[in-house]
Amino acid sequence: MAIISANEFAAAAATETRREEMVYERPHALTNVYTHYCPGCTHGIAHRLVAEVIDELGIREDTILVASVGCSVFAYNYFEVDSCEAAHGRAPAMATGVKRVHPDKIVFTYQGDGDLASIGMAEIMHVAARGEKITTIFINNAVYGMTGGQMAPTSLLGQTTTSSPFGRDLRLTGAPIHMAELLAQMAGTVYAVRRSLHDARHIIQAKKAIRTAFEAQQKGLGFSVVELLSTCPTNWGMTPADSLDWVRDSMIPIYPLGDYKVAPELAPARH
Amino acid sequence: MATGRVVIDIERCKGCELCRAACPQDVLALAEELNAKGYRPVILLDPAHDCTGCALCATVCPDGCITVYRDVVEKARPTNGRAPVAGRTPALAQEVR
Repeated sequence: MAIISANEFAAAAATETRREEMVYERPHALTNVYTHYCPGCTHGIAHRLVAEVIDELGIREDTILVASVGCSVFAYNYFEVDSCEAAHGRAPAMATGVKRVHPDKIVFTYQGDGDLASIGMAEIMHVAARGEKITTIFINNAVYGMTGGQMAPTSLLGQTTTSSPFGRDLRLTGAPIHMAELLAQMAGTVYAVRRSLHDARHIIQAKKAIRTAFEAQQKGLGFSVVELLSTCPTNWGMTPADSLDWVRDSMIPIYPLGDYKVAPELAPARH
Repeated sequence: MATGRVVIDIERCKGCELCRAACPQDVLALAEELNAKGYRPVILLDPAHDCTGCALCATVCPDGCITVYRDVVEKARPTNGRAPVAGRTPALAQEVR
């Protein structure tokens, strides 16, 4: 039996080293903290996309996050940027103050549908009306996630939740609120789009939209918002893969994807 | 076909299997062992080296556990019997003509 020394082994290994390049790595704008999100929750994808955009634009040292209340309440632990935590729904108001004190910083809020479309409806509408130069990432998963799956303003008609066990009733609780369309009506909004996170192609499109929203703020144009259709496998009572299909089959027909307002200055940046 | 590999942070993985659903080459599998959090993490099970390094798994991963490497292929260009000209620019090509 031939016995080779360690040196010979290393030399033999060195002659057949493959060259390889890194195609994808975890973005540096995310911390190494393990997130508290349930398995398959697309909050993690949205976090990753925002972090990738922050890395690509090279603005990690200049970005301030205003975290909201909801499942994303611990976002300040997960982003490697300066951040502060707002009262429930008041992230846009706090972001207004931060941006006015630090006009050279990039300020963004990260809010769910309970925070933005329910208790924080006044703040988000007035930020859009005033045209504050901030960016909002709006996660729409049609349910209150953190508190246990109650009906949200964005729940679909007929959707069963813990507070609408027989399905959402139009006569009793009204119709779902379409935030991207609503915010596009406001004069101060320069970018309002809706994207989905249910497959790789749409995730890549969502990332481009987030990038455009941040660039709108860098150019000082006004308020920019990206609505992301998201999943909540735990409260929907589905597997992560099934909940992606539910977004595609049930949510997108009610919440059509598209660009609802794009300022002319941003049109060339859009592909 | 390009070849590659993925490195998975198994302690960060929650076993949601979104990457398995996205993988066109079907080279990802759930481990038999549990990680510290009690999830069955995803591992690369690729004996035939089918992974192309397309990074679709990393694109859909909610926890950013996946690092993707793609092998660099040195392309041998056809030279049509002539010695290859290294670093030839269009301007130089016009001059030669």
